[in-house]
Amino acid sequence: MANVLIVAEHSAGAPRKATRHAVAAAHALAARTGGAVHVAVLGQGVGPAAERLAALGVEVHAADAPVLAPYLAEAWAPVVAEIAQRVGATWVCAAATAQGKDLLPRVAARLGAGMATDVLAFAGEGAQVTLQRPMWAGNVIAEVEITSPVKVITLRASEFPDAAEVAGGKVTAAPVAVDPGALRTRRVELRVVKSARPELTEARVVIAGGRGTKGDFKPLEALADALGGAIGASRAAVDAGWISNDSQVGQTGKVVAPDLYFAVGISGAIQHVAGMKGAKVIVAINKDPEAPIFQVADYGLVADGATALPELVARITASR
Amino acid sequence: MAPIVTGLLVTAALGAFGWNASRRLLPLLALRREPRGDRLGERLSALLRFGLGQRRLLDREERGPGLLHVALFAAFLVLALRTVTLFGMGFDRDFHLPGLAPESAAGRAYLFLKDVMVLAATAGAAGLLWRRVVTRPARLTRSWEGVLILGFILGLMLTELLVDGGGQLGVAAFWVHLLIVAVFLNFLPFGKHFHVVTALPNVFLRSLPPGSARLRKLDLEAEDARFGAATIADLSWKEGLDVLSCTECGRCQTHCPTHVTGKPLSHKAVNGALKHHLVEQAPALLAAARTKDPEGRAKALAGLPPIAQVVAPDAFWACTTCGWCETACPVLIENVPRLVDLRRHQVLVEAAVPDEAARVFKNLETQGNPWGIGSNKRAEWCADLDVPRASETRDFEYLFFVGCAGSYDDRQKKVSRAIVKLLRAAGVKFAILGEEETCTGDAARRLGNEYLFQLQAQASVEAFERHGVRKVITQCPHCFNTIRNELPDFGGRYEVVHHAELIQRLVAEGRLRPEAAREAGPVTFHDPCYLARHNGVVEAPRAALASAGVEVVELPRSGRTGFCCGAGGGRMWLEERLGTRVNRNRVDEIAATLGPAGGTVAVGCPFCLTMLKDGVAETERGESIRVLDVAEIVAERVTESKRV
Amino acid sequence: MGLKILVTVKRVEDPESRIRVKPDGSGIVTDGVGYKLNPFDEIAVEEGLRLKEAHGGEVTVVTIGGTAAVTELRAALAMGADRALLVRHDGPLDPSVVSGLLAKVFEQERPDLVLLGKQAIDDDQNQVGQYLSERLGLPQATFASKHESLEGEAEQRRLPGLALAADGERLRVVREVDGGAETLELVLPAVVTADLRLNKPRFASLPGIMKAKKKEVKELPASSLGVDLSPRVVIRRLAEPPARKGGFQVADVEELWRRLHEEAKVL
Repeated sequence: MANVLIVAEHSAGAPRKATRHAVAAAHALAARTGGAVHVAVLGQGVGPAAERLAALGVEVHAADAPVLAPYLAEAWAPVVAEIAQRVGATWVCAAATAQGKDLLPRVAARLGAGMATDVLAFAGEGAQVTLQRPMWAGNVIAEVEITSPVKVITLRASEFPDAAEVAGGKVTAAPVAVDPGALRTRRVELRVVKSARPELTEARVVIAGGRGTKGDFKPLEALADALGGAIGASRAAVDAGWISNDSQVGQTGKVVAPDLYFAVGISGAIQHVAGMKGAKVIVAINKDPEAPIFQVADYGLVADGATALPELVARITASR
Repeated sequence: MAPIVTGLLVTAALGAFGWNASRRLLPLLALRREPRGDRLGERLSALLRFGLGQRRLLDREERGPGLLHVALFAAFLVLALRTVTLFGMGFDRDFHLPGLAPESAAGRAYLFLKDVMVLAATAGAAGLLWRRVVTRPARLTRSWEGVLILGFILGLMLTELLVDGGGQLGVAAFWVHLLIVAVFLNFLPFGKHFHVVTALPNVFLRSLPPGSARLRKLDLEAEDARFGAATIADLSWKEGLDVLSCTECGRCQTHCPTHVTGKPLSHKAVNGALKHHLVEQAPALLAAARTKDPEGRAKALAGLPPIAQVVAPDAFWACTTCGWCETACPVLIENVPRLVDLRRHQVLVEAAVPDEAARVFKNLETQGNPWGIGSNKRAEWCADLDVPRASETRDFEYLFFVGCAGSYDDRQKKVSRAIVKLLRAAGVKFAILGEEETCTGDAARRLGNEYLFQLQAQASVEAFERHGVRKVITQCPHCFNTIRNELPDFGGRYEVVHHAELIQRLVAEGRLRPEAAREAGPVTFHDPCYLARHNGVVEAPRAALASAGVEVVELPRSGRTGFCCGAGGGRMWLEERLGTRVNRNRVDEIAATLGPAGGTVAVGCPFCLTMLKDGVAETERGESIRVLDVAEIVAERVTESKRV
Repeated sequence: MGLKILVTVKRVEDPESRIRVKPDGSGIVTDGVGYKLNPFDEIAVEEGLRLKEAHGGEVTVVTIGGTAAVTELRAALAMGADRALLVRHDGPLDPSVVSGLLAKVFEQERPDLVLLGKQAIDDDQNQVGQYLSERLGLPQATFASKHESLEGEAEQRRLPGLALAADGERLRVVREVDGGAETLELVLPAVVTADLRLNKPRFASLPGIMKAKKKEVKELPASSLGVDLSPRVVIRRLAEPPARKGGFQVADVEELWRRLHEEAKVL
């Protein structure tokens, strides 16, 4: 029996979306290994979150104690490891979030387990599960096998579906044996990032405009607002005085590597491309189908940004 | 007449002059050693041409004032004899120089020549005074010194004329004349007119070959290595002499891309600041010059302030190393090497590197190109062209050194392909290095990172030697200059041609026969600094264009006086935040030359291509002005089937 | 007295090099690939140096790898690290084993602080720091960052982002978490892993590079540390992801949205 344990993340009495996706992945995994899916919920006052997780048809182990709030890897790791051992978990998983990545290697160390980060999919035959995960920034997909008796993984939530609600779940209390006085980590504060535009080099999404915008950055700003992105520009736009020079992306400006980069009305000369080629997904919107930017873009749209961007903003808003 | 008075005057004048001049010159002994005793023939020829021949003063763009100076200079040479004679007459009324007795034919001839020269000098001084006081060209520094000196000269000429008149007035004029000479002489060490003393030696002791196209190789391993210029003592004694020789004429500024576009760099001002600093620090330098042991020397120099306090970083980072200033300077002052030495200290020792430069250095270090694109993607531009690799064949005459822009920049890749087409059409056996090619390091070196440059240079020489390369074609004048002039210091000696030169040669040999066809509009040519100025290649690109039936309408600033695009000296990789844009300035000139209907500007350098293309786009002239490489224009007129 | 700091560094493939998988999937093609100091480790080295400059102490860099990795140790020495240690091992090791070796090094060196990059950009595992803290029973702060902008004055003056308490026994670390920034206080000794926005690493000076050439790199075989080197994670096969061709044209905004949402999963 190869049980699967998911470490849940929750806030305001509800599990995070990423955790629900991880539960769905755990079901798929358990189906192959013939085990059951367990979920560990840690913190203080975790009752409501535990109930909502149980609704996904899993056995929830609720470790409820003041010492577990707020989250600290040092305090959580022994509790999770203890639950894992108690439920006989062969697989210990979490969503590959900042918390999951912070916590699970510590748990793995306690369990003498090997670990795989950012698992994209399960492979292999039957109960012999292998894992697909990215290496070299996603330029290579590796198929790996964890050979230790206990296996620890973090799952990339976006690669798995959301979990459906089914009957059969239950909540049990898990013991907490952590001495608050022995902890050598203390949380001083948590600053929630304000919704204002992020800094260009730190943004997950960058919307950059060039000469083709003819100086009208309003459609770009609307998209940036919709996506919580930052505004960038080519040197041409900066030189034209349409936008301040600290927005310049390129060899002699800022070098950015966001998850998503929009190049709007930018031709794509090498001096610009040098500053954004590290972006994971590049979208080019340009009226000129010959513009070299289409050579580096993952998705190209031959259109005027002034009309295409408002449409895209509308489409994004509609999907929410 | 009055031997005692004259004797006292001569002794006092020469004594004071000797003392003050030595206070200016002796500190140079504490500066960096640099041998200048070689190549005597070339030095003498330089002395005749640039010194006595005043070659630079006769350059077409400044010929008027240049001729006025030539008049003064010629008069100075001729009248020097007269001055000696006059002082001699102070001792003995009948004194004359041997062979120049007043009644002899030679003497009479000399006196006639003297009178002509007095007139010439009067005219020259009056003309220059007019410029200083009335027309006031921008390049001149307004100073009382210039006016005073011209006043001295006019005074000398006037008294000279009066001496010959005789009588009491003549006697008075005689003494006034001697007195002016004495005062004038003692005025020299304190101002720009010290060049009267230092200019000829400065020309004789010039850098051979010029130091800007072949920067000084630093010994990075030496125990007492100095990495660039931290203080004035790190400049060479010759650079000190340069500073003392500056006449503040400002010819260095007229086509200086940074000065013209309002950057805080004026070579004339740098010379002035350094001269002032040299004088200020003379005691410490003299103390160091007197000490023999290295420790005492170091102690004497310990108190010198950083030279970056004298020449501001904004000034020394601004230079594009285009070389205009050095082409223009009548006394052959070298500005670029010392600015690079200032950068070297900042980069190598202080690690004070502009962010954009640091990025370029890292990219060169890891991937061998300034953008940091994978070195194993270097040959992707020709993946479909089946270009032979030097690693696969020995059967090649030329190595085509593609360069970073030619390999990675989408626009420049088209030029690379055009060159391949031309080479094939002419049946030239060539190969490329492919992934083994790496940046020559030109930008790193001129941005002051000598260490990185040397690694790149060594890597290039090793790759060339590995494949038995002897002849190299480059499409980038910066690669051209580095391989041709700087790799020999690393043991690599190659015959290097720029593609424009090769096209010219292939056409002359009948191997390449472009169909003569005119471009739609007028065509002009923008000279790359590292081709035209630093290496004297001016005719080849024009001849290559002519062979394709394209007639070049010259820009006002072309050839030797070409105007930089703004990208040299590593400036391609730094943001241009101060003043106006160099490329805009140039593009405005190009647009004016081509006329309202536009046309084509031909280039021979990837940096120029980028800068001009950007400038054309920024000024919304993209519809009317095309920027094309010479190779592209010729290749359009060649069909590959014409293979010989 | 000062801080005794141990910084780990790794030699990795430069992400700008094209990474290609061998036809049989057994590894990547290393021909023509550039190598460099893992960028997150470089940030960790920089932070170590800043802490040393602010509080005194010593920075020791350690790597586990083949002799080629000495290049990366020298790069860290050139930046200003005092000592370097090469734990000699050829071939890959998984993070649990790496942390085992580092725990042994920790026992020998007894540093006050271990600084690591948050992850190596070759295997992208993001585990070693956490494994190590648990093995050693130390507090950890991963993804160390700072509130101040990298364009700001503190960065100009090269001030450390990690704040050491006046008693020299506690360290405050701002760390990036989902949706914000958390500040933790750790009792030293502790383990901290560096994220991208902790600092801008310095440029090594030439005297630094020259001195680094002369500094000793202590070498010891990994097998001598008494750690089981057998892997717990085995790579079965490598493959290149389905090629997303550059220049892929979408017909309209609707298709763009759909592909970004479903295929690229970025919206």
